[in-house]
Amino acid sequence: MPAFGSLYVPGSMSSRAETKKAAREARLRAEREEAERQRRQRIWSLAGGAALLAALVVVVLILVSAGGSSDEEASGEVAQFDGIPQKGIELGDPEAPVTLVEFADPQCPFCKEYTTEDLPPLVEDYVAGGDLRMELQLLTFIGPDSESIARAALAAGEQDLMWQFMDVAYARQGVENSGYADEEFIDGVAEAAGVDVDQMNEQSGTEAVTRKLEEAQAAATDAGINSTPSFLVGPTGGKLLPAQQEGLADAIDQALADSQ
Amino acid sequence: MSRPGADRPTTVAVVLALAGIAIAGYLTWVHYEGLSPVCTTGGCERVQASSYSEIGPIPVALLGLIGYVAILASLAIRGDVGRAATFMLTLAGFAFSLYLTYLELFVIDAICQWCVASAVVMTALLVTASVRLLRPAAPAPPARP
Repeated sequence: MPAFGSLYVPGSMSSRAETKKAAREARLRAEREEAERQRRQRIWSLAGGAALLAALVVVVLILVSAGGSSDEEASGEVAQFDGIPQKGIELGDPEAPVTLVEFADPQCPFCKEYTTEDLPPLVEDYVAGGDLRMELQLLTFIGPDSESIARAALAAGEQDLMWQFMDVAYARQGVENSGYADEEFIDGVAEAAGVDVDQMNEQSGTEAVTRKLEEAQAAATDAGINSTPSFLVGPTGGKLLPAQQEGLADAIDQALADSQ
Repeated sequence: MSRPGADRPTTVAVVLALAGIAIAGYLTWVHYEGLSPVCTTGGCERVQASSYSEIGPIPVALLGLIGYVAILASLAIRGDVGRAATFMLTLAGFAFSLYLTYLELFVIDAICQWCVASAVVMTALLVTASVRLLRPAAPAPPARP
């Protein structure tokens, strides 16, 4: 409450001070509001820039991610199997002292990695010399494309060309469950692998092929396999034990030493 | 990182970023060790084996780990530029999580609990980062007489 006297004395010291104070507060308030307005403007432009940058990063990530690894012209390393005995799912001398079983899904990227990077030296160092025989058990848990490829591969196995077929199929592996394993893809893989396409297509839908897929699944279940690629190594006809992908050569060497 | 006097949204964001680092770190470790992640949804194996689990030579889990570490680092940057950086990183992380969730549901056809947990953490981080960026400035401390 102002002092009684000040109401009647315009221009007194106290009134001037109050007016000055009010003006100062109003100026400060205006300055604060202006600063906040400018800050908001700055933040919205920063947010807009950040959103644009984020969108750019995500678009690049998605494009690279979906770019896929499909390579319709790739033909794998089919020549590595030349001169090596092959029957159905088996590769190598049936009398070889050591057996390696691989459980793989045709769409599994790590199986592709194994086939392109780890398999060739194993074939050259052990299978070609008659020390090792291999079995390829195809599982189809990833999706319908897995089954289409696995059926065709097992049918190619009737012509003793399953290993060549899968080598090319992995080299051309497409985007998972995209429906890439259509008739054109399968026939193209078969041709590159040297398979008689008509004969393969006649056999891929048969009951015999279905039974082989079921046998592969049963073998995986028996061995407690729940991921691909998984491996079993041991003496041929004896007890096979799980082995890690990066330690396969050591496991084979150990099994060879044990067999002597 | 959560220094004395840090505001509440920043503290929440630090906790969320650490949770994200734990999740992505675990998945990265599992990836490089070739192990199967602990999984109650049954789809982790399938998601991990999917071709989408890697972008070129980089596992998506490692990308997530790098993202969460970058978010944590951005929280230490003061001012509007730091807040905008956190917002940008969380927005990118959120959008990429949306894409990965779409892949899980409609392409890979399997759900991985760790991926869902990471997507939830990233969503919460985006909300927190938005609050940090857009809320009004704290009132200036009263001037000394």
